[in-house]
Amino acid sequence: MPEKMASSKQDKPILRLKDLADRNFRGWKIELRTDNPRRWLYRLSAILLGGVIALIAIQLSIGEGNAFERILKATIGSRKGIENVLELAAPLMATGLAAAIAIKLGAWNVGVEGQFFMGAWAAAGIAFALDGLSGPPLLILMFVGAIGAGAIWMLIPALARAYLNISEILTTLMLNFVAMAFLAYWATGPWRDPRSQGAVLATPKLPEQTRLPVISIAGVEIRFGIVIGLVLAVLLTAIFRKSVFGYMVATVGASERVGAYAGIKVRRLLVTVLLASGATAGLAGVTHMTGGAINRYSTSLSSNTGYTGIAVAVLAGGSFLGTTAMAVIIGAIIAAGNSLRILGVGSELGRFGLTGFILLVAAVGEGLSHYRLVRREPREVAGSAHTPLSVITLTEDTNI
Amino acid sequence: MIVEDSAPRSAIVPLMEIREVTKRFGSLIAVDRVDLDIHPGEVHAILGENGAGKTTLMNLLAGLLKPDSGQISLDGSEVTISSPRKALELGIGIVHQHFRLVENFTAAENLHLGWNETPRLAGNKDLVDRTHSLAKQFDLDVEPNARIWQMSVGEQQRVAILRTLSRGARILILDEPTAVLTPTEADRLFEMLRGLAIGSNRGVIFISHKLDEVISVSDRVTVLRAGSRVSTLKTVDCNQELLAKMMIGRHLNTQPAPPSAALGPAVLVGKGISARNDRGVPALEDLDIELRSGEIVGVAGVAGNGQRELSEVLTGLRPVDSGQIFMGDQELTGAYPVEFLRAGIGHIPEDRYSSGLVTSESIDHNAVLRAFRDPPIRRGLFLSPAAIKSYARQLVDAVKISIRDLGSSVRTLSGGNAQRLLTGREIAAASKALVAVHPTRGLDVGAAEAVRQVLLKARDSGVGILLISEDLAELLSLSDRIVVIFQGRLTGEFNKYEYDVNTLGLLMGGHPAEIG
Repeated sequence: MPEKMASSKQDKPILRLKDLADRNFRGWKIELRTDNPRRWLYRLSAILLGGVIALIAIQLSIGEGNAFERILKATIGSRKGIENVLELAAPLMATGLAAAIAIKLGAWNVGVEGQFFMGAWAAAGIAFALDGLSGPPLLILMFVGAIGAGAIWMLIPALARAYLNISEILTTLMLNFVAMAFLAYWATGPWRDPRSQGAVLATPKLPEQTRLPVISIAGVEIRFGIVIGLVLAVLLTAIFRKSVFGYMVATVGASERVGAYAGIKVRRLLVTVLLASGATAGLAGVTHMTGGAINRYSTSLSSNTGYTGIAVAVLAGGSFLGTTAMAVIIGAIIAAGNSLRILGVGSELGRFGLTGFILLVAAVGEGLSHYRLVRREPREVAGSAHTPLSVITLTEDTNI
Repeated sequence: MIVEDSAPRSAIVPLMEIREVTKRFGSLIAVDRVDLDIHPGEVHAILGENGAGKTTLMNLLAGLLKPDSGQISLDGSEVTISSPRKALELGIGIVHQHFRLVENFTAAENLHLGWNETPRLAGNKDLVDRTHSLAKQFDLDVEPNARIWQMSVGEQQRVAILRTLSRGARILILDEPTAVLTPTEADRLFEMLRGLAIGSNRGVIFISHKLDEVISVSDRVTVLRAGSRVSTLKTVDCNQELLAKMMIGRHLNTQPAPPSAALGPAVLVGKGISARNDRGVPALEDLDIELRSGEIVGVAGVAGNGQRELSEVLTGLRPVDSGQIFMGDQELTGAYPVEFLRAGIGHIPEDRYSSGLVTSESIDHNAVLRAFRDPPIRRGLFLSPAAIKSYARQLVDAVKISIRDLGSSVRTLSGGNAQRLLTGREIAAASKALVAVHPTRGLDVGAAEAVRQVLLKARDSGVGILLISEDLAELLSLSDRIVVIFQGRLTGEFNKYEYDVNTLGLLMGGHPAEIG
């Protein structure tokens, strides 16, 4: 008690929303919500609002040319645009789901990028070694290998977190750099394509039979990664919502102490969930390599796909189905950013400016979704007739 | 009998005078018209149970709280202590239980951190020299170059005390300073405090609930009970019996519940248990406890004497260093908490919101926290939503909470209803034994009574209940047997109707009374 009060007096920020809660502002007050069933609506509108503001800013800054038209055409305004958005979204779905699994337990897998590469590495190795096999058995082996490699890359961080309480954020992040060096070694050394030159290091193309099919719906070509992402999201939702395992994850995710109290083997669960997150990231790697446009093991296989996946999962509030939707939205933002290059907006500016701004607005929206503005009861106002309405009543013990 | 100290008010002006100070929190009067004088050169102990108002009184002096009425005067002139900074300017310094030192800094660095008298551009040597001379001035043994994390708790405390004194504190307030110390360190502290006070113009306020410490360190003692000052006495006129009586009060309003009907065989048994607390300090030492079917065993004691650790050891949440735990014939030593649960041991934890309930999850999620492993709730790898709903509904009805939507989060429940939900759930899980820690703390009278009735009903159905509580009236009323815990050991045992409140108070205060 005394400590809490001391710190709130000394380290007080200039303004906190919760300090304003329950105070009277001319008959209105801000109220803390205990539950907000429509929180996703707040998220979605915040993201859209952020996008619109960013677009207006971009349009104003370029002066000439029509940014709106160009963006529309590059995203949902044309068949080519839709295909492009979905292609960009496919790997983000899987990496986003990988991050979301860890988030369910309140953990952060920042190593999605590294596990993504390790998954692709294992799959490429299997494909080169067994290129005599026909498509389906070879693909199955590659997927199993990739899932295993992703999980193994997570093993040390998971055990360190569970048994030594070492933050998984640091260990997974650092292993990303190890994975990059490992990738460079194989792409420049044993598996190097003698024809590849310049900055991009790559292996030869994978055997033709390992290419995942492209599905065509109403003339729109859809990468197989989208199918895998959607199926996985539905499956994960079912497991985490309906199973005993999911119940335990929800409990431990809310509080490890309560989890232990409920008789859950917290460490074991922590390791299991983190390995599942790594495995999913590995799956993302092989899916992107066999289902995407590159089809070889290369340094350009990922353009921060793993890191962006974490942002996707966070924006979706950790929801699996939300993650797939958010992957498409982020895919569209990236496509939009790319399309602005022709108008002289650097792709980095377009992409990161857009994403950063949208994240910012989304964070504000997230904060606001915990509060609501309500009209004070007229009776209460009348009851305090001796206090003038313009006086803000301050109650000392406003605990939230 | 009790002779009020008619203070030598004539000659000396008191350092500090407190008159009729009152502080309310809502309907609770935490400090009720308390008077207090602090004379220069004295160590003044403030003695009281948990909740007697000691901490609130201290916070009033520290400027953390403002009194609703009453006056505080320093050197004869009235002051308003509006903030902790103001308190320090006036010469009131507090050493908290947690010292608030920077672990990685040296004593000298900690001493000079955030101090306006720290010379600008001072090098390490300047700081060390200054620290040396300050330590000498106050005769405190502090090693300026040692880092805080390398020090024992007693040494850390000396740094904190030196920091407070250096900043000009004339009234030094120590909040339960021995709670974190070993007995040797405590003795050393007492010696130091006496040295600081005697013959100086300083006053030391020593807040404690331990009788022997108060007797050995203070010149005068003020006893608080339920927010009011009971008396102020010269320590030489006191003994532990007298203080214990004043601290606890003679009129405990207890209506004993009917005794156990059928005492069964031993259920939960701990033999020679030793365990450490979260800081790695021994909290339980060679403790034996036996709980029989159909009885309530009350554990009396002042907070922090191993109650929490005992409850965690007996439910599998805390490993033991040595000793054995049995449920009937089954040994549970070293087993996972889930084995304790399967053996039929329920647990109402000390802090229901951080240990026993998932506040962000729904009521039905929380209702099945103990039962989700068993059919019909569990079906293979999955959970049956219908079975969860009906289980939760039954539980909620059994403990008589009216809830329309079982899907709303536990956060929306009142404290009383949350505790009823938890109690009902644990009673359902406790087929053999229940470890209940402060089950009615913070509840209003009605909710507390409801929880007590549930406990008695469970006892009558043959469950053995270990009731750990700070509410002595509750213990006296419910328990079939009371044991006293002090510094990790059981120091006394009483059967129903044989309780002697005075002896209990002495034992809780650590006085090794003969049990009569």
